[in-house]
Amino acid sequence: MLEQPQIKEIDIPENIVIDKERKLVSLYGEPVIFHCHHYNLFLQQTISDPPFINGIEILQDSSQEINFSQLKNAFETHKAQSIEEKFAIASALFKFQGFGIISFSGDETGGTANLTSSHYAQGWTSKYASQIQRSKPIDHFAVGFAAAVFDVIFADLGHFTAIEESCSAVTKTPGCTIQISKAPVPRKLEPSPGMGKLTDAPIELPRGETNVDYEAVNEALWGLPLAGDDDGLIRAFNVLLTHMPSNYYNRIQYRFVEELRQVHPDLCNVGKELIRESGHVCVFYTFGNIMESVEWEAVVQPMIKNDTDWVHGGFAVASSLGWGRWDALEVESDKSVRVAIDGNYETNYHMATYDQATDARCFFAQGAIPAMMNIVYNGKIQEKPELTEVFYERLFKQGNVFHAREIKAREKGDPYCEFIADRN
Amino acid sequence: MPQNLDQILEVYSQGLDGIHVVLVGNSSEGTVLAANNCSGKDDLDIDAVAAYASDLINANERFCHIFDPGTAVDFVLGGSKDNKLLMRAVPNTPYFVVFVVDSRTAMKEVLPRLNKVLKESKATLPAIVSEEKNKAQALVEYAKRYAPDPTFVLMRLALKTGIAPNRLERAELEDSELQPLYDGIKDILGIDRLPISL
Repeated sequence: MLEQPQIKEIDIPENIVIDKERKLVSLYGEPVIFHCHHYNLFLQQTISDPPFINGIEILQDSSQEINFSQLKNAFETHKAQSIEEKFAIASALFKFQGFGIISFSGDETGGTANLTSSHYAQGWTSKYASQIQRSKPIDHFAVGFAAAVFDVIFADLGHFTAIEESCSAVTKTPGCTIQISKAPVPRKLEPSPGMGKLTDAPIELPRGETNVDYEAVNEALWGLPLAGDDDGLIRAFNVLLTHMPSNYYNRIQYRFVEELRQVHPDLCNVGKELIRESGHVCVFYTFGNIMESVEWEAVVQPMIKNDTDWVHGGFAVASSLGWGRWDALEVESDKSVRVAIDGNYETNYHMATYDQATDARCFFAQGAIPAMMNIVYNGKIQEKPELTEVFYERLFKQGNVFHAREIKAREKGDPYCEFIADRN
Repeated sequence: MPQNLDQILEVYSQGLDGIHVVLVGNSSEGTVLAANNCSGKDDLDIDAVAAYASDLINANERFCHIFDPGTAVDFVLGGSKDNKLLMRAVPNTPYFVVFVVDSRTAMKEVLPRLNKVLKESKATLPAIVSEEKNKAQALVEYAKRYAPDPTFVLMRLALKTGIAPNRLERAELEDSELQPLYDGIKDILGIDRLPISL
């Protein structure tokens, strides 16, 4: 069996491509976006909760599919020849994107992946371990990633399967182990649609009156060196970030909703609402912490003259994370916001994968947009509150929270997506 | 002589430094009947204090029954290095009295007050209508108290059980739905069993 040599130094950041017009970011041909461990954990938890669908399979297969496409492009880009080189590139990519530290050994019959540091396990431990126990492994993304590595190197998509044999979130000891083996029969898996259905050209959107210079914020944030540290974790803004291929999120959320619709249609709206909540909790913690950070003080704060600028500042940051062109068209102080997204990452995927939708399907954005209003007007982020779970629960308990409606949807045939968030 | 529960709590909260909260709760329901918050924290979640105190009373009752099934909860002491929690159950009722005090406050000063509240409040406590709480309601309330992200726990339980959230909220379930609910809560909390028997 081949053992993995020390990780080869490759320059991953130089392969990041920023489409400044569409405000999209790609890495080895896959759109990539930043999200935090609160989002990753809540979304994964939602998908794996129902016992009547195989949520774990959705998570692991989707990871295998999307990572297969990205890894294939990465190996080609770096002209990797040997198995050792390919293992090393896979490990370096995993680390760079904030998923942790992983090393591989094995051959065409299968092998082992050792996860000495894990975003999901560490994120879960920091968020939940003081409250609850965990009895089941958590690294479904890494499991799919490991299977994809062996697929690309030794065979083709769907030829390998993987299973997490020990998980640090369960054992409470360092390190997770994933076993990869040849599937008895290759499974039919779907590769990623890559960048998806992009907008032809950015649409002129009438941005609301603000002192915030969105483009200046974009430039400043695109320049931040956000990459995995020695533990392969992106510790920033008091959360753990990942630079995730966005099609992983898209695939797991849409497959989940589709399976729920088929098996338990009466619970479909519950599933969608929980996906929206993953977006809400993401914005609350990540943007809340960004708004309390030195980076915000340096880049955005000097532009802020009033409370509606806080909301604009939040959406300017949102449009720097690879999510597409987010613009607040109109902010009415403490009352409502109207937001347009031209080329949302969710629609790019949806339009490349499904027929035209009959209902609005930007579930993440539907949760994220009201969260921006809640953090500014209900959470009073300007006063720098401590962003704890108790504080978060209190937001809901006090009531009068903002909710959003997607009133225009590109996935339904509109030229762009538009949302209204208010307290109705 | 105080006339009602609020007045009783107010009288025995006064005249001693370090009293944060005095309340009377119902351990069957996990609810508060009356409370006096002297902590200076307006946003202190008194309902949560009563709910967790109820759990302590109930757990202590189980503890007592291990030694002698005939005994009942009398006195419970808990807290942290900064705060002390003193509780006494009102005999033969689901009601209990709680004092949360600064840890520097002398117990000998607090205990007589607790006993006075216990004695004087008896006459003002509501009649016991139902000793036995609906099992579904007990399970749902337990989940809300101990699951992470409590605002969304009913939605999670809906996905885990196939039971609509509004039915879980009303806790009007068929007997056959109790086991899936029990299992769903266990799964969320990552534990083998709950302190509620079916």
